[in-house]
Amino acid sequence: MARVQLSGLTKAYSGSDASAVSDLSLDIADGEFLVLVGPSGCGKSTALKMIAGLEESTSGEVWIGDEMVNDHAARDRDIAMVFQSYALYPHMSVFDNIAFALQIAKRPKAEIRERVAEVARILQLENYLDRRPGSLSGGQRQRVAMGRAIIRQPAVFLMDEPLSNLDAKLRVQMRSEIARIQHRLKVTTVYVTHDQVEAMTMGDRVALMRDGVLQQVDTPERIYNRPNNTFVASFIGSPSMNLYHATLVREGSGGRVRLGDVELSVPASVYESHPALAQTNGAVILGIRSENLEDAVFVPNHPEGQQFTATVTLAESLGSDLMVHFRINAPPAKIVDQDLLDEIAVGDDFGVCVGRFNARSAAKPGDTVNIAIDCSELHFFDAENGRAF
Amino acid sequence: MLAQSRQWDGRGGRRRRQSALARRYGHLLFVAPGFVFFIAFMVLPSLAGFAVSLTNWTGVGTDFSFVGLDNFVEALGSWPLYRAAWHNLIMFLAILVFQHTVGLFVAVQLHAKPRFMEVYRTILFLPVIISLVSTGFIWTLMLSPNIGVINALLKDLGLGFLARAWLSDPDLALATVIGVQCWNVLGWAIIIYLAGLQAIPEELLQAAEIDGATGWVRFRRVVFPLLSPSFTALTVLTFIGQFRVFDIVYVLTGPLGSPNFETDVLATLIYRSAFGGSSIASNDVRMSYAVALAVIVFVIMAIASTFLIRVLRRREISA
Amino acid sequence: MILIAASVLVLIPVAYMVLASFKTIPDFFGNPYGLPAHWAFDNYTRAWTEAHVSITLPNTIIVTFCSVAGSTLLAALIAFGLCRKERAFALTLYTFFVSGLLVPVQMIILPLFILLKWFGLFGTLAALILPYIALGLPLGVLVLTPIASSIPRDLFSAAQVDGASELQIFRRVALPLLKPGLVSVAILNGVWMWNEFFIPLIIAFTPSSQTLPVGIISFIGVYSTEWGLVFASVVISTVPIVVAYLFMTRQFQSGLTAGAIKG
Ligand SMILES: Nc1ncnc2c1ncn2[C@@H]1O[C@H](COP(=O)(O)OP(=O)(O)OP(=O)(O)O)[C@@H](O)[C@H]1O
Ligand SMILES: [Mg+2]
Repeated sequence: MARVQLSGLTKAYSGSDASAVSDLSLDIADGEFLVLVGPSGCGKSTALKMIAGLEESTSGEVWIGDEMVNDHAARDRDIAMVFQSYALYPHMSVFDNIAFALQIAKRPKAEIRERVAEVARILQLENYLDRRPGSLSGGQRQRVAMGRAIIRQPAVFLMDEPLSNLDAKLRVQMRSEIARIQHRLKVTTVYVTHDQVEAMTMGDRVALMRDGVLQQVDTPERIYNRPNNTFVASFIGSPSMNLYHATLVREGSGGRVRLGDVELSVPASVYESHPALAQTNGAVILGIRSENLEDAVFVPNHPEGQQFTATVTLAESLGSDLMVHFRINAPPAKIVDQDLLDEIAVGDDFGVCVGRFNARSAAKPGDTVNIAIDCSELHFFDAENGRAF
Repeated sequence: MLAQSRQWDGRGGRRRRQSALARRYGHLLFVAPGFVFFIAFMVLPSLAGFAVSLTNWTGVGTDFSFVGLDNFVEALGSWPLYRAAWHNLIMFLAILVFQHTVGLFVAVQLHAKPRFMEVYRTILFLPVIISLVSTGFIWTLMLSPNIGVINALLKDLGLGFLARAWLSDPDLALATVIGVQCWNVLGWAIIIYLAGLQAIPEELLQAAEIDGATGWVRFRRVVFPLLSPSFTALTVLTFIGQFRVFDIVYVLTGPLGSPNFETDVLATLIYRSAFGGSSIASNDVRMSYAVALAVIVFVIMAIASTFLIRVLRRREISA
Repeated sequence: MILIAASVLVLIPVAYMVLASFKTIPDFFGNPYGLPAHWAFDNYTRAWTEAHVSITLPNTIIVTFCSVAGSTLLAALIAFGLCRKERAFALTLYTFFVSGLLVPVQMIILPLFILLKWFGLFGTLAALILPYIALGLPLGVLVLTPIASSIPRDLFSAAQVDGASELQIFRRVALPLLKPGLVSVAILNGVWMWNEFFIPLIIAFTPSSQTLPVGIISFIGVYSTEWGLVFASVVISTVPIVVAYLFMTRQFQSGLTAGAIKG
């Protein structure tokens, strides 16, 4: 119904010199579901508010449909929004909260009742319609906030972490409900989340921001498999990608990568899919996803050059998998982000690497295990600027 | 149902542009009505008042001329101004002491949650909502030398020698006016201090008790410093109230501040200068001079209350 | 003990006022503090007609009601207009309105007098209502603006997104949330306006536009010895506000305290 385009959108709050959002350009197709992710404070909410017209942009343009809406008030942009803070009207009942937009639009009473009832059913709020938001739990409030948005059929949905406060079960349920509604109404949606699963499963595309700067916009598969830089690589995926300083040397049609005292062979297929890698000889940042590491016992006949041994420091069973932490004698690559630093860097000269092993693996702390690594899935980044080759 | 017509809001795709001006200054439309009233009935009269104070206008007729600061010079050099200000000051100080001692004391008693606490509180606050005019009448009659209840009571108790002409004895009149005001304003002290006391967290008092502070020491060292905001509020309130006091003096002792100006205050002085007291010849009425007095009072009060708030707030922080 | 003593001291004059309103002139001399020998109910009927209470009481009610409603509403509008900190001139305007608290009535009363005459409002109740509304604003703005500023911004944003105009946001979101503040302001200004003496003394000199406090004063000049009559008027002027107080003790106390502490 409406394509949303942002071009060069920038916001600098008065009183702070850094921009909360800098030069954000996005083209969101009509009916697309775009997930916006990024660490706390990276400007996601600010970006949404600029699209909604609640926050004036310092520069740049917002287009909804084929109209430049910079000069339109929020109420004339035909959007519905779920606020991170819920923003429920404390003096109104749940019913009135959900119905408010329709009441403002002077819809007939009967229609309002009917529509509220339907929304309440979808969100399992039927029993709370007479209550005030103050007497609801966080999750219930969030659903009311959700209801307030989906009762309308706007051109654009903006949702700021709408499920963050729900318990795991309800979240799964709501996730599919939102996906279903969005699918049925085909409303262009921008959806902010912290949740990896939501990001990967709900979005047609995922946009990742950091410090107000857009890092990458891609389909979930591509952003996971072909991250643009070390930041994207470490942010997307759980546990985060293991990243180390390593040395890459060309050898025949393939190559060899030195990771501390371990040497692994890089198959020619990697060079073929990453042509830029051919020019590299020397320092790189090596990225390994945990699922590409496996207890060698379960991978018979794994090529010789794609195995190494390490000492297990911690083994956590998830039931389906066994997450095994082991030491690697190579300096981890630091991502300049405080939140992620703790996860990634433990020491200076050696790092902890996490592998997702078969649940039947017998690895336990103190053991030295033989680890098979799928070298065709290695990721290489420029050691200088962290960009992917 | 949900998928039904998207034109639900009746606005369809029609979107209105909003000018940058509206976005930036739109909120001023909400301020405008009040602003107009405020300008018309507050600011303009203030400015006009100031302008009048620079003339020799008497208040009637159109015959006047600009005299510069003459009125101010005259006012500042005249004895009645200082006499009236002095009376205001005495009232302020006396009532201040009363509020911070008796008022605080009663508030502490109330805070101990005696039986019927609500009843006491309701009664003790009652005079605050009774107008100063009514208060004045009640006490005029009660204090009346011949038909008043006070003297009659004293006589019947065999204390007849204490009976006085409360409001016409030059030595007593000011004190009597102060006493009547105490009756009227005690409720403020109680309610403000009570609010302060109720805001002190229980744990703090328990902690003080564990530290060995009890009774008076605990009150002086722990409780009282925590009542600073109440102290400030009450002091400022009393200050403003006492330097503006008019109604009660007017009713009790008349616009002349009788006897012999012993209870004359700034407000009655200004009133008299502007509209004349009953026994003053009308040629003494000079509106411009009265307004000049009012301007002086305004300036002094503005300075003093700003200063007072500064000092007291500082004390609050360091306390 | 102390509390009982204090309460008695407070109540005696009030009781005295009520008793006095039923006394006849001889009673005052013969029996200063006892019950009236003969309950002179006609003090009230006479006050009603001769002391013009039949005019001044409705006047006071109308003036107080209109002024309270007007100035509370205008102050709420201002508070809403100023409540978002980054808005243009917000702080300046706030200071501007609040500084009105310092202006002494004596300074503005005369120009006000002239202004009202000029508008041809003399002798009408509007001559009191209009200035009262303006004079009530500083306190209203002082109390309401901080409350409005503490309303989460997202609530207004949500209403905007829901399609509400600014006026609808004010009426449906801001106003209900300001309610405790509105009650405080209304009471604080209401008590003040009901009891105000100086302004009507100057401005409302015709009986038809007088309010109770002034009505009693001008009446006392004529019947200075008729204390029973005077007190009947005083009681009539006091009862409505005391009744209101007894019904809403808590709101009165917290409302007046809020205003006092902020002021
Ligand atoms: N009203 C404001 N005034 C000044 N700075 C602000 C304001 N709102 C947000 N910021 C700043 O802008 C930056 C981006 O904030 P924003 O709320 O958009 O982050 P976010 O990505 O939504 O974070 P979170 O995931 O925690 O919600 C932050 O550094 C924040 O401190
Ligand atoms: Mg946010």
